[in-house]
Amino acid sequence: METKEKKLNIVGFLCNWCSYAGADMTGLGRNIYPANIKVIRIPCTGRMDPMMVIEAFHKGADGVLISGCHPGDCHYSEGNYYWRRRYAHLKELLDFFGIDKRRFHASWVSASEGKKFAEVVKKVVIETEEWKKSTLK
Amino acid sequence: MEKEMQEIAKKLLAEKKVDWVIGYENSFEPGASRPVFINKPEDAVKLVFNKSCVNNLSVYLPKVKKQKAAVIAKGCDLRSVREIIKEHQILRENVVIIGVACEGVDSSKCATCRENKLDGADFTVGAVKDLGRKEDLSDIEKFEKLSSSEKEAFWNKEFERCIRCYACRNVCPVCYCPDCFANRLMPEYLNKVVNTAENKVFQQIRMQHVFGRCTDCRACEEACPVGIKLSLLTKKMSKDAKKLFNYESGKDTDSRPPLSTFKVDEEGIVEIM
Repeated sequence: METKEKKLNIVGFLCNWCSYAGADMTGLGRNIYPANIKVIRIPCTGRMDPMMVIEAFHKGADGVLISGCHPGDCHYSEGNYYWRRRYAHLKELLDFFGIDKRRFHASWVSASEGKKFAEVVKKVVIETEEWKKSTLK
Repeated sequence: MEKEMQEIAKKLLAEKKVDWVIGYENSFEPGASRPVFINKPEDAVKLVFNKSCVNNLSVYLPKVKKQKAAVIAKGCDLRSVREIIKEHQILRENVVIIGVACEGVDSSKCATCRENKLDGADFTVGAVKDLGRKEDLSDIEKFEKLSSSEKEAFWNKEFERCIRCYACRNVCPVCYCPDCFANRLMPEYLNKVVNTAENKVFQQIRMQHVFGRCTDCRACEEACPVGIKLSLLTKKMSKDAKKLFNYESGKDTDSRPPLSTFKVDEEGIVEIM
């Protein structure tokens, strides 16, 4: 019987003011990027409750990407700084629980960086694929 | 030592300086002790301190918010008391800390005791000795080197046993939220079904919530009826807080917890694309 390879599931939490617009720009600029990512719009990366990341992995996400404004560009002036701290520790903690570091990513993408967003998603998918292959061995 | 402790408690209660004294008393079982709450001066004779006094009594402090309380604290418990004061769960003027010079109780945590000093205690009972013990992070470092699938397999095996009694949460001095995510139904972050995956999610979220506030007092591990190695996690978190944010919880009563503050120029703490 032919086995159908399951498509990777990446959940992307994008900040409304920069990365979500950046993702729009990617489409406008006709940049091609993998369709594995499912985008959820959040008001700000400062709104990212780490519980939502844990929940995403629990519910079967292969990878999670959080993307927000560059430091200093936050619409709410400091939300992404809080997120940076949370991300640093959450990555360590989840790795300790056995959720590989290659599955959990964060990026800064501004509204004009459509090209960068495509690159980021490609990189996330490649790394998640790498992890997936290492588990199948 | 016990006599001294009883005298202090009696005096505090008689002078109406505190409403409650939280300490240890002998249990029915010989050689065992349990927490006791004293509000009459004549009951102060109940207080004891011996090797079986493992409990971290600071867990009761947020519950006496409006009243004044004196608490018997070992060096390790004192860190939790400071953390609770820092988080404004009790005002410093409403708590009298009776520090006890502890030379180790019947607990696995004492072999790597980091701190038995009693800085900031209002009263000190007994003389504090330097035990010359050091924190041991070798098991954490060893565990970190394992592959992700090995780590996952280890935790799956541990949390398979979990019965979700929430004892770890209930004895935790910094888990004082009246509305815990584990009990919430809207949104339901945690399914109420007991299975390995859900148990793991519960502990992951709990550990995330106490990051930078957990003082590594190991009350959760002591309370766990099925013996899950939670000390691995709490140790890891205090190591991370130190490494990433140069922060040690329970050291003082006025610094900001690491996740409630930030620095603009700390790009180096983590790689972001």
